[in-house]
Amino acid sequence: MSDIVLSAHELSKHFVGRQSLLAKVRGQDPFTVPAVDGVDLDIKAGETIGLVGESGCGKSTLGRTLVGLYPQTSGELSIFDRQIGKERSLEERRAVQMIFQDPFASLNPRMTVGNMLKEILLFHKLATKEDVEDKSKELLTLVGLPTSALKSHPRQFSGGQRQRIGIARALALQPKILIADEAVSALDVSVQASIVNLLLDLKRDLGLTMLFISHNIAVVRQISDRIAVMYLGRIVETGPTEEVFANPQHPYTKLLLNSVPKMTPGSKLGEAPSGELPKMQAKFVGCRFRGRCPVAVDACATTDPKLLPVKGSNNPDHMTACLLVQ
Amino acid sequence: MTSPLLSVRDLHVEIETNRGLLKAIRGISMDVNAGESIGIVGESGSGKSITLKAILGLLPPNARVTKGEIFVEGRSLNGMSDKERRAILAEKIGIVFQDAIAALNPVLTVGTQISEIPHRRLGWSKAKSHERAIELMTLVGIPEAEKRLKVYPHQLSGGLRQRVAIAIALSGNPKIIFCDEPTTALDVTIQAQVLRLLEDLRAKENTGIVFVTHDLAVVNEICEKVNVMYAGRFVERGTVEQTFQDPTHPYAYSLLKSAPDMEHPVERLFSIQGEAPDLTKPTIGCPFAPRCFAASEECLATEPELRHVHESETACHHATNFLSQLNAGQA
Repeated sequence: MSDIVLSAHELSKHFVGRQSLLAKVRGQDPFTVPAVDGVDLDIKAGETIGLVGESGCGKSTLGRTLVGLYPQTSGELSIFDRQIGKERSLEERRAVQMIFQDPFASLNPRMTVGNMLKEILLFHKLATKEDVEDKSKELLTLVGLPTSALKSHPRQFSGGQRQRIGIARALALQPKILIADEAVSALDVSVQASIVNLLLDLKRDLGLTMLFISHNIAVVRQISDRIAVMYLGRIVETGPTEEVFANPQHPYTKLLLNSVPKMTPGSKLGEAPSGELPKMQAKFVGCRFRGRCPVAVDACATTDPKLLPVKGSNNPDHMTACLLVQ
Repeated sequence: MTSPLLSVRDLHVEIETNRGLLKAIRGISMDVNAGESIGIVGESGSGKSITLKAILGLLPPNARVTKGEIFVEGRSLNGMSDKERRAILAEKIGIVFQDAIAALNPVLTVGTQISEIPHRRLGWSKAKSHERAIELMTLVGIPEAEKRLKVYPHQLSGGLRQRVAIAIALSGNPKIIFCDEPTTALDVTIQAQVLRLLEDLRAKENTGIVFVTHDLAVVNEICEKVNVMYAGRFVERGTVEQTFQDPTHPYAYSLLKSAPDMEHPVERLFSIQGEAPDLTKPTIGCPFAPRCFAASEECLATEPELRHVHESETACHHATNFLSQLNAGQA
C-alpha cells in the first residue's frame, strides 16, 4: 500500500451559470467558471500541505471539492487508492473532514457542544449511547477545552475556543485527512498562534494529514511540510516548503512571496507588483499568468505549461508549471 | 517650535452596551506630525478603531467622549460648534476604512464621490472638482481615470475600490490620513500596491499617516513609530525599530513573538494565555497582569503609567527585567 492518502488527478470543478430560455433555444454555451481546472495533487500520510494563492484562485473550491461539498466536474479523486465517485459512501465522507474559516457561522447556535458531538458520533456509530459522553470529553481534552464545555452553547465561547470546537467536531470522525480552509484567518494573532500550535501538536500526536488552505503565507510557512501555489484554478508550483521559499521557480510564486510584509527589523516596503488577478474565463489559451508575468515570452501565449519537475533541481518533488524553468 | 498637526490629550471614550458601561478608551495621548507614519497595533477590542473614530467625531450613537482634548494644528476642538469642528476635521484629516464596499456609496458614481469634498467643502466649481477627481484617480493609480469616473463601486475590483476610497480621503487635501485596517481585506499582492501608494504619498506630500492594523509585519514595513494598545490604553510606544527589536512591555513582546515570520519560522509560536479583560468591569492593577508571565503582586494592585524606558515609553512595572522572568519561568 502506498503512503498516499489522497490523490487528485486532473480534478476540475466548473460552475455553470444560469441561461435564459432564449440562449438555450439558440444553443449557446452557458457561461462557465472553471474555478478548479485540472489539478494534480498527491497528499502523503502525515504531511501538511499548505495551499496558497490570491482570493478567487480556486483554493477554497478545491478544498470543498475534496471534502465532497461540491461534486467534481471531471477528473479523478481517490482516497487510499479507492476511486471516489460523485456520490460518497458514509465511510468515504468520514475520511475527509473540514475546519471552516468562520467559527461564528460554522457552528449551530442552538446546539450545545455536547449534543453536536453526540449527534456525529452516534450517527457514524463511532460511539454507543453509553460511552458517547466519555468519547466527547476525550475530544474536548484533545483540543484543549475543559470538559464542562459539553453543556455550553457556541455563543458562550470566544473565537479561538469556537475554532477548537470546530476542530473537535472534525476530529470526531477520525478522518484520514483534515482540510483547514482559512482556519485561523478570522482570529487575532495571539489566538491564531495557539490554534497553529494546537494543529502542530495534533499532527505530531495523531499523525494527522492536513491540507491547510490560507492566504496568510507566514502561517503556511510555519505549519506546512509542503506547499502548493495556486493561480486561476491551477497549481503552478509545488514542493517542500523550505525549498519553495528558498528557491521559488514560478514567476507568480516569486511575486507572491515578495509581496508579503516581513517581520525582520529594518525590512522596508519593496516595489509593488503590478496587475491583479484577472477574471476567470471559460477557456484559457497559453499560460494563465502571462498577462502579469514580467518575463513572459511569445511561447507563453500559445503553450499551456504542465506541472513538471524543476529542471536542474535535485529534488524531484519540486515542480512548476512554467515554460521558462522546465 | 510649531505645534503638531494633531494632538490628542487624555482621551476617554465610553460605550453604552447592554452589559453595562464599557470603558473603551481609558486615557490616551498622541501627537502626529507632518510626514510621520504611526502604527497602532493590538488585538480586536483593544480600542484601535474607536480611537480614530473618536478623534473624527464618528462614534456610534451609543458611544461618547467623556474626557480629553483634541488639538488640530494647535487649535483645541473643545468648545467649538459641531459645524466648525466638522469643517476643520474634514479639511485636515482623511480616513480610509477596511471595507471599501461598505464605505463607498453604491448608488453614486465613483467620480461624484471623489469630487464631493472639493465641490461642497472647498467650494470649487463643478468643472474644477471634476478635474481634481481625474487628477486624484491618476494619483492613486487607477488606469483610464476619465472613463472610470462614471462607474459605480460594484463594478470595480477590491484593490481599485480601496484606491477610490483613498482618493476620496485625499480629495480635501488633508494633512493627515487615518487608515483603519485598509489592507486587511486585500490579497498580499494588492496590499503591497496599496501600501506602496500610501508610502509614496507620505514621502511626496508630507502627509501624516496613522495606521491602525493587527498585522505587525505591515507596521514593520511602513511605519516609523508604533503604539501598542491594550485594553483602551497605549502600553508601549516607540520607534518601530526599537520596539520590534527590543520591546519593553511583556504584551508587546508576546504579540511580536506570536506573529509568524515568513522568513524565520520557529518550532513553536508563542501564544498569550487567557483573554482580554472585560472593560465593562472596573480594572484593578495592570489589565494585562492576569495573562502576563512576569506579573507580580505590584502589578495586580496598581496600574502602571507610561514612563520612559531606554528609548521607548512603556506602562510596565517590570519593563527592564520581564525577560529574565520569562527565562526563569521556562527553566
